[in-house]
Amino acid sequence: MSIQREALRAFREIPLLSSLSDDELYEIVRICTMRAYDPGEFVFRQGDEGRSLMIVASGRIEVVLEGDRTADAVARLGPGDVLGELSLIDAGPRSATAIATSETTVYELTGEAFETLRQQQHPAAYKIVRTLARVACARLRGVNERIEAYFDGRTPEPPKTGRFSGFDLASQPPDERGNSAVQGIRRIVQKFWRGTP
Amino acid sequence: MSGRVVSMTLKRLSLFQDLDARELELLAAVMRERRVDADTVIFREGEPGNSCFFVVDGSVEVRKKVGRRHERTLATLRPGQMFGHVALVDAWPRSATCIAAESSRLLELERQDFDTLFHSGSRFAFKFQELIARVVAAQLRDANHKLNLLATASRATPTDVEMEEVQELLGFTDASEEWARMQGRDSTGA
Repeated sequence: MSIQREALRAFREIPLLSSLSDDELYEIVRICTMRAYDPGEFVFRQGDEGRSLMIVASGRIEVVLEGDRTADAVARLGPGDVLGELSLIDAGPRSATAIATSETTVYELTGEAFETLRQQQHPAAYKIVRTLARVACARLRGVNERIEAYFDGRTPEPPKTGRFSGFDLASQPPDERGNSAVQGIRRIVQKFWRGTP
Repeated sequence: MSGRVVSMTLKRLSLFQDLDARELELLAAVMRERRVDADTVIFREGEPGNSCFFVVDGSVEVRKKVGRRHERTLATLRPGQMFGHVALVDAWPRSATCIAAESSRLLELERQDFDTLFHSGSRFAFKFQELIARVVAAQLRDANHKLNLLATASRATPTDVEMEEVQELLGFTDASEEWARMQGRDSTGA
């Protein structure tokens, strides 16, 4: 089976691309480049300026936050999973580090390639941006929910792993084992509440 | 306010800097001006979203319930900022309450017109979509930063800079004394 046909089959299964017709998907396949990583190799580093979306073709990628002292992976990605998709519409630095943990290949859609498609006003670009807006909204609600959990005393939901890992890789739930800082924050919050009529 | 005045107003908002004169007119034609007094509730948490807004003058507070009885101010929106768009994109209920912090002037875009802009497939619709997507992505980046701060602060002894940011995020600037006392340090930070 050709690489193109294999990619097309993989892309059909990806929610981000689910509204695209086969012709539109083919256009995406055509402008993607294939990249390979050895185990332990960085796919990208937190803070990098890179602008590209990656779809895992084979292998495994772990996503970690470099500032996180626990160094636990915030997401583990495998074939069909997408990372970095929001960098197509928001050119900020990478919010986390991605490392290949086995022999890994990815399809990469670069910001430049996507930009060309966008300037042609290709329907595929239009549909991807529309889905990205929805993805970003859903993720924004999720992240805000986790922020609020710090304020009303609930334990935040653990971070999701797998698909759509790109941006909400923010945190682990707080460590409850005698952690004075989180209790300190809560005490300040509670004091503030008591002062509110 | 006439369509022409609305279009002039839109031109002033940096959010719309990539739109050309014709596109600004199209947008202005479907927008409605609203003047609101201080403390006017623009929409409430939990309601279905029927329109989105742009602050032209004044300011709007975003508030969210904390527990059953309390409310926290999440953000204060200033001229040029957009709000209420998330519920139009994903059709979920309002996630927060928006209240005018002072006498303010807003532009309102109703759901039906938003949907037309968002889905029509025209060149302008594409630009509008990108604009919305970029605004939401920036909000998400900001929210991620806040969450990271909270997570960092709750995990270990935070640095002074992190603590300041957390306090700002919590919405009180006078908490440093309290915090310093808890940390067993002098409130002057010396």
